[in-house]
Amino acid sequence: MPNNSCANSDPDVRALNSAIERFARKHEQGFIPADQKKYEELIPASAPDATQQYAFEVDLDKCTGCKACVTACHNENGLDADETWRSVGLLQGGTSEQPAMQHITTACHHCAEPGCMKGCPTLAYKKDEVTGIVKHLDDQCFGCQYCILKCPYDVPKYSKKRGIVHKCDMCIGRLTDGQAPACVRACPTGAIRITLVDRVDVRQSPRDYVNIPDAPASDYTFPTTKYTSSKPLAGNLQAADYFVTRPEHAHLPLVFMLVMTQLSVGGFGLELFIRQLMGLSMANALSQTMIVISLAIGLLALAASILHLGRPHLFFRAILGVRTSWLSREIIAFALYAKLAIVYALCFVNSTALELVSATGIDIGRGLGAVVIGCGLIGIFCSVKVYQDTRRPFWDTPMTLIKFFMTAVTLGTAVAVAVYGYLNNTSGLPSALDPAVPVYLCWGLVTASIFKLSCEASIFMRHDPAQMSYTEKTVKLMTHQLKPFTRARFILGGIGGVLIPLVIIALGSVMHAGWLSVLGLAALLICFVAELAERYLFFTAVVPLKMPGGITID
Amino acid sequence: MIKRIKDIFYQEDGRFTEELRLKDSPLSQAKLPAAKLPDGIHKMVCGFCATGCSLDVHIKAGEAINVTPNSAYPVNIGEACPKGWEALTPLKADDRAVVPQLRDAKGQMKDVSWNDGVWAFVDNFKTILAKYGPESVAFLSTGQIPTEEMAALGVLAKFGMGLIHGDGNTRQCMATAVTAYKQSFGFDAPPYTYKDFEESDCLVFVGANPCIAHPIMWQRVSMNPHQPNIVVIDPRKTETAMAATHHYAPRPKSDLALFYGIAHILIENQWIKEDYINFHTVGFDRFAAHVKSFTPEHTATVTGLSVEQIHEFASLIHAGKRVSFWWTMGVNQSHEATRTAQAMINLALMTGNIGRPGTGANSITGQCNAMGSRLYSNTTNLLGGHDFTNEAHRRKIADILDIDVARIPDVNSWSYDKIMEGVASGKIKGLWIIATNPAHSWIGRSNFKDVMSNLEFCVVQDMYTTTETAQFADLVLPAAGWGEKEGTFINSERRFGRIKRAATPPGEAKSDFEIFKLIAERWGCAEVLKQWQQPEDVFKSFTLISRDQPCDISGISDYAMLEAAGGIQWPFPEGKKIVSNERRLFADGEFYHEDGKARFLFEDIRPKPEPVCAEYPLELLTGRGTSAQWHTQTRTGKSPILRKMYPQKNYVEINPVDARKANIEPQQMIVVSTRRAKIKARAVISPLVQAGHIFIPMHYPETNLLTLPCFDPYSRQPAYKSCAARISCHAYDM
Repeated sequence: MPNNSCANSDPDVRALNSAIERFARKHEQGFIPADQKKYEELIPASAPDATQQYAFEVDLDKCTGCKACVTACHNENGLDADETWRSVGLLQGGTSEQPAMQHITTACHHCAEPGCMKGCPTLAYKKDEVTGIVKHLDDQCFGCQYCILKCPYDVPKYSKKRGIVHKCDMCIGRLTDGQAPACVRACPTGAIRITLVDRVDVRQSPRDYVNIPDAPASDYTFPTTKYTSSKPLAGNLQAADYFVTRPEHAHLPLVFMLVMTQLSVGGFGLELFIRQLMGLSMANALSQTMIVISLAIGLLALAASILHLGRPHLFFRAILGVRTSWLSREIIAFALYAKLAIVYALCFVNSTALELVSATGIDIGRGLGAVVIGCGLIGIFCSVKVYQDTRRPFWDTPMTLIKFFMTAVTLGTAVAVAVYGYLNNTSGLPSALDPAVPVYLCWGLVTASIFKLSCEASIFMRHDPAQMSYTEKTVKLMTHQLKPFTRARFILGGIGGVLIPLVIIALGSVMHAGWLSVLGLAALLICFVAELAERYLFFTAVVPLKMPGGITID
Repeated sequence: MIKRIKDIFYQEDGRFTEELRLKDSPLSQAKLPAAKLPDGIHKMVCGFCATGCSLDVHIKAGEAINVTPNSAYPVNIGEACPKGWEALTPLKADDRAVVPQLRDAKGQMKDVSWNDGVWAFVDNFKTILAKYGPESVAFLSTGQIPTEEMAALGVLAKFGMGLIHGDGNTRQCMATAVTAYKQSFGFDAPPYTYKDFEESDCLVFVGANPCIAHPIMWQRVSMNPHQPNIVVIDPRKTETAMAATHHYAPRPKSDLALFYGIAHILIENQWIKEDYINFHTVGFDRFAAHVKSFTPEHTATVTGLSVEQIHEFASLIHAGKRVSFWWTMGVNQSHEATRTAQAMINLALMTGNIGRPGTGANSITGQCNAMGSRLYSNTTNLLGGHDFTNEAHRRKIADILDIDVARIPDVNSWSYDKIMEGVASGKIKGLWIIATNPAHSWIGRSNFKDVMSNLEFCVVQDMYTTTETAQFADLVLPAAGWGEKEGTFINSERRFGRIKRAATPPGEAKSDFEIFKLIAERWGCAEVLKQWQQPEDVFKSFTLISRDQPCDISGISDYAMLEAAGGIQWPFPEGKKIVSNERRLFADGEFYHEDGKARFLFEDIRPKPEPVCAEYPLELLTGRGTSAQWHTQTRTGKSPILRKMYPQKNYVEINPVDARKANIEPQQMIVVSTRRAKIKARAVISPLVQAGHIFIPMHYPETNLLTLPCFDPYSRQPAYKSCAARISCHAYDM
C-alpha cells in the first residue's frame, strides 16, 4: 500500500542526506557557479533534523514588487508558456497622511497539514518526511483538480494539455545540490530565503506563519512560510484585489454530475416511498419507469464525473485517498451505489434477475432498495463534505447540505409527477394507486421548492453592502456578472417547482390527461434546468480563499 | 513486472515527473529540466531598459529557448527584472511582421515582396521630396535599436536621402537630461557608475521609482553597506518611497522651488564647498542671489511641505559625505524640466558631491539604447555628439565616412514636437517611423488620427503589424528585434554592451541595418553607407568619430574586446587600460566647457501650464505601472507571464477622499476627463495618491488622450506628468 510520507523512495531526498558532502566536493572541483556564495547565505547550511522542515521566509522590507521571482521560477523550472508557481500580490492602505503599500510574494507554503494532500483522492501528494516539502507526484495525478479547490492559497495549477496538476516543490532538486531555489536566487534584493522551521511551532503558533492581512487563516492547513518585517504593517492594509469579483470556473461536468446523482437518488427514494405508501408490488409501471429513469440518469452522472478528469483512464485510482479525502469517499459511495442500483433496477424489469437475487434471501423490494438509497444518500453526504471541506465560505455552510439533499427531494418528486402524468395519459397507471397521489406529489414539490428557493435566497438577506465580505462578493457576483443565471435559477425554479404543480393541483382533476402529462414533463424539465442553474451558480459564485492579489482590472 | 502493475495504481515516477526533473547543466548557473538544457549560451545585454543587464540566452539545437541573467557582468551580477527573464517571448508572438505590407488602392494592406516594398518606399518619398522639398519627409527613430543601426539610419536619411528633419522617441524620455548636462557640463555626460549606488551615504531619488522601473539599479542600492539615508521626492507613495528612509511628497511640479529652497538653506548655513565652487564652477554668485528669495517659509508655501521637512532634507544633504542625486521621468517630463535637472546639478556642484565615489547629479536613463541615440542617431547632434552647425565637425565626419561634406546638413533638425506640428500643418508629407509607437505614446494625442491623415505616405518599420502606429502605415517594413541581430547598446552609466543574433527573425523580417542598406541601394545613395558592410564596421567608425570627444572610445578595438571586458564605459581613449570596470566622470573637476568649469544655471519658476480649477479640480499624474510593463506594451503585452503581473485594462488611482466626494466605489467604471478628451477607466481607490491627485499608468492607450501637449522650452521634452482633470461616476458624462 502506498504511503504518502514515504521519503526515501525519492531520489531527490536520498540525495539530500549527502548534499553537504557533495556540495563541498563540487566546490573543490570548481563546479559551483561564481555567484553561489551570495545564495549560500539564503539557504540553510544543513539539512533539517527530525523536528524541522524547510520553509520559505520572506523579508517584506526587502520585497519591492519587482516580480523577478515569478519569471525566474517560470524559466528555470521549464513551466508552460502561461504557467506560474509563484505570484506577487499587493496590500494597500494606511491613511492619507501615512499611506502604505506592501508587495507580497507567495508560492506554496508547504503546509504542515496540506489541504491539497488531504483532499487528493489518488495520494498524488506527499509531505516529504525529511524536508517537509509538499511534493506533487505528477504521474500519479489523474487531474480531478480537487486540490485546487482544497488549497486556501491557490497554489496547485492545472495543466490542461497534460491533464494533471503541477505545483511548487521548492526546487527540491536544487536544494539537495546546495543550489538555491529559482525564486531565492532571482530576487535582486535577497528578500526570499529558505529557512528551517520547527514542526511543532508551525502547529502550535499558526499565527506566526503567513500572517498577512487578507490571507486565509493559518489554522486550516498550518502553512510554514514566515513573512518578516522590521516595522509592523500598517493596520488597515487591504489586498489590492479586495473588491474584485470574478466568476470562478463552472466545472460543468461536476454541475451535471451533482444534479443528476441527486436526481437519481431522489428518484429511487420517491419510488420506494410511493410503493410503500400505496402498498404496490415491484412490478408496476410507475415504479418501473421511475427506477429506469433514475438509474439511467445516475449512470450518466457518473460518466459525466469521469469526463471531468484530466486523465479519465486512471479513474480507479480515486479509491486510494479514502482515509482522508471526501472526494475518494464520494466516488466510492457512488460507484457502489451505481453497481447496486443496476442490480436493483434489473429486478424491476427482468424476472430472471429478480429470481436470481431473491434466491440469496435478500428482501429486494425494501431491503435492497433501502441499501441502494442509503448508499446514494451517503454519496450525497460525501458530495456535501467535498465542498464544505474546502472552507470556502459560500460552500462551508449547512446550506450546501440543504441544497444537495433538497435537489434530491425536489427532482425525485418531479420525476414522480412527470412519470405519473405520462402513465396517466397512456393508461399505464397501477390500479391500486390513490387518485390523490398527484396532488400529494405536487404539494410535496411545491413545499420542497419553496423551502429550497427560500434557503437559497436567504443569502441576499444576510449580506451587508458596507463590507466586502466573502458573502457580499458572492452576492455581488450573483447580482452582477452572473445575474442571468441567478434570474434563470429563481424564475425557472418558481415555474417548474411551484407554478406548474399548483396548476396541476388546481386543475388536474378536470384536465385532459394529455395536458397533465405535458405539464408533468414540463415541471420535471424546468426544475432540472433550474437546479443546473443553481449548481452552476454554486461553482461560479464561490469566492475562493487565496493570498492577496495585485491590482486587477479585467 | 510487479512495478508495472504497481504503477497502474500508484506511480511515483514517469514521463511527467521526468519532464520537470532538474538535471545538472554545465553551461548554466543552475540545474534545469532536460528540455531546457542548453547546448550553447549567447551573452548579450537586455533590450528593454537602460540598466543594461547582461542576459545569458540559452541555445538548444540552434533555437533560443531560455534566458537567465548573467552572473559575471558588472551591471546586474546575476539578476534581472521580469522583462529580462521574459525577453524571448515577444520574439515568438504571432503578430510579428513577417513580410512587407503595402496599402493598395482600396486602402487594404497587402503582402508584397521586399523588392516592391522598398521601391514603394523610394518612389513615394522621392515624389514627395521632389514636390515639396527636403523638409517634407521626416523620420522618427527610437531608443530601442542598436547604436550601429541608429547611425546607419541617421546617415542614410540625412546624408543619403537628403532629409533635414528626424528625431527619436528619446525626446520623450531623455532630452531634458541631455540638455541639462550639455548646458551645465558642456557635454551630455551622465557622470556616474552603478557602484555609486553602493557607495553613497545619502541617495536622493527625484521623480524616480527604481524599485519597479529599474529593479536592478535598486538591487545595487540594496547592496549599499553604509546604511544610507534614502530620500524620495515624489507626490505619490511609490514602492521606492516606501523603501526610503525619508519621503517628501511635494505638490506636483514644485520640485524646482524645493531645490532652490534647499540651495537657500545650504548657502545660508555655509553648508557648501567654496573651494570646489571657486575652482570648478561658474555662476555661483548669481545663483546664490537667485535663491535668496526661496526662504524655507516661501518654499513650504510653494511645495506644500512643512518648513521642518525642508530643513530636514537640507540637513540630510549636509550630513552626507557622499550624496548622490538620481532622477528620471518625474523630472525630465515637466514644463521646466531642464532647470529642475540643473537645480539638482547645482546642489551637487555647490556641495562638492560630484566626481567622487557615491556622488553625482545622475540622470537614470529609460530605454535600452537612449544613450546610443543621444550620441549616434544623427538627429539632434551630428554623429558622436558633434554639431551640425559646426563646419569643422561636418568636415571631420565627412572625412571619416569618406563622403562629400556637402551631403551633411548645416542646420539642426526639428524636434519631435515640431515634426508632429509639421505633419499637422502639412509641411511634412512623408513620415518614416522606426521602432516606436507615437499613436499610443505621443502626448495629448487625441487629434493624432487627424494629424496623420495629412500624410501622403507613412512608413512604419517595426517588429509587429499590430502596433497602434502601424495602423496608420501605408507601408510596413518587417524588422528583426532584439536577440535577432547584432550591435551594441549604451547603458545608463555609459557602458557599451553587445547584443547578438541568437534567434532567427521570423519570415522575411530583416534587421534594421539590412533594411537601411537595402533602401540606400535602391535610393541610389549606397555610397554613404559603403564603409559599413556589417554592424561591427559601424562600431569601428565610432572609435574614429568619437576621437577627441568626451565620449572617446578610440581605445576599444572591436566587439571582442568589448565582450571580454564585460562592457566598457565611455570614455575609453586609445592607450587606456582597463583597471576598473566601474568608472565615473569628473574626478579631476574638469568639465567639458572650454574653460573646464561647470555652470550654475537657473531661472525663475514658471507657473504650471494647466493648473487645477473648479471645472478640472484634480491633477492628473502619469507614470510607470509595474515592473512587468514596458512603454506602450508592444512587447511586454506578448508575454502571458508578464500579462499576469499587471492589470489588463486601464485604471485610475484615486484618493479615498476624492472618491467619497465623487461618490465613486472601488472597481467602478468611471469617466476621467481633461480639456482634451474623456476616457473610461476603472477606479482603484488608494491613499497612495494624495487627495487632489489622480494617477493613470502610461501603458494604456487611452492615457495620452488626456495629457496636455506642453514642452520644456530647452529640451522640447513633453511634460507628461501634470495636467488638470476631473472624474465622474456618471456614464452620461462620457
